[in-house]
Amino acid sequence: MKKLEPRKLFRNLLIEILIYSVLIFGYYLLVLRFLDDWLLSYFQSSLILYSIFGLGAIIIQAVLLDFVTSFLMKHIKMDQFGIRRVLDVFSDR
Amino acid sequence: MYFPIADVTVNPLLLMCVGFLVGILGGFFGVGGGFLAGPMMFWTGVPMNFVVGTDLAHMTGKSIVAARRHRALGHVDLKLGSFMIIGTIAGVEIGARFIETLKDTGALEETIGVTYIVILLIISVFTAWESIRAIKMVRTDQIDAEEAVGFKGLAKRVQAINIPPMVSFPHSGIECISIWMVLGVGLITGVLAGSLGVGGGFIRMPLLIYVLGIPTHVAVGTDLFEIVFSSGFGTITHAIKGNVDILMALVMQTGAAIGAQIGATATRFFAGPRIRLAFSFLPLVGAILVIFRLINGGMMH
Repeated sequence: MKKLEPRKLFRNLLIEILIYSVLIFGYYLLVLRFLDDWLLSYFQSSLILYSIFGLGAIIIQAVLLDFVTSFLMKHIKMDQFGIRRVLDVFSDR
Repeated sequence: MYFPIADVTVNPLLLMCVGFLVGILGGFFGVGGGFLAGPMMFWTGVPMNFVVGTDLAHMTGKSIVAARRHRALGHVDLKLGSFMIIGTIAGVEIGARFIETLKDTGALEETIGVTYIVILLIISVFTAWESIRAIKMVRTDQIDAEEAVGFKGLAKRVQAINIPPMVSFPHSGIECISIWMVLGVGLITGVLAGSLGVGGGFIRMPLLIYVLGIPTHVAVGTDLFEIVFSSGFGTITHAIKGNVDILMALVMQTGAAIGAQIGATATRFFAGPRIRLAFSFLPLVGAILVIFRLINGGMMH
């Protein structure tokens, strides 16, 4: 793999994080913002249901985010650019 | 953004950044990162009673992402993790009861605080000493960095103890070990976690390496696998008590998921001794934070 200057490496890393941030911000605007009423109603009516739905939401979001981040890192080959290159600089393997 | 459950307004970007930072640490070192996320959340204005529960909830999601990534890299020993969970759950219960006994003496805060600081300092100094020794061994003895451990004596002795039933963990390169040793390590971690009020990742990870002889990368991945269950259980118990803001945890998790992926991927680029050397600073940070809390008279629980 061709070596890049440190400045370029960090620029690429920042671009990647920016792309992630845009996606997450869109998700926040479209989904998370509208969950508060739903969660609050369970929190006030039944804490047992709230805890079950809450843990379920955490697990579902984790699996979805894992899918999205893995997809970005593999298929758009993001791990070949910034993050991967920055890690290469410090690697001892 | 207003979070109606915790009744607090916090900038979601700040929460995402906290999640991102703790996610990187968690993915790379196999720790939950509660010792760092807790004070940061408190600093952003989250009420103390929501800090612990919400942190556990976000830790569950982050650990799922990091553990899945580590599993894809072949760093998770499911069999070992499952045995450890049994010991840990029993240990957490014992630890919680120990706390109840201590409460009656009225010296809970100081006793736990000082114990915590001593344990963290011992882990930090020992891990730093061992990893520097291992790095020197790699340089001078020309041995493979993956196999370099500066302190193997204890793990060898533990593996030689012959108390049936004996089990093997081929994924971790252990041919034969007494099941009681594995359960015992889980139990010790659980007792410490239950009595100190932490997830126990940065106690469990060194114990896996130095006591059971698990390779560093597998210790990191297996630790995360166990954190999924311990923090998931903690989320449910805290949520039932009304101490979890799920929406806040979901927002934090969006940052943590990216951080966890980066942290877990980064382990591919470093050999065990370097990961352990970097890890040795974490308990030190934890100890400093506890010292500050004790000086300022903050609450441990």
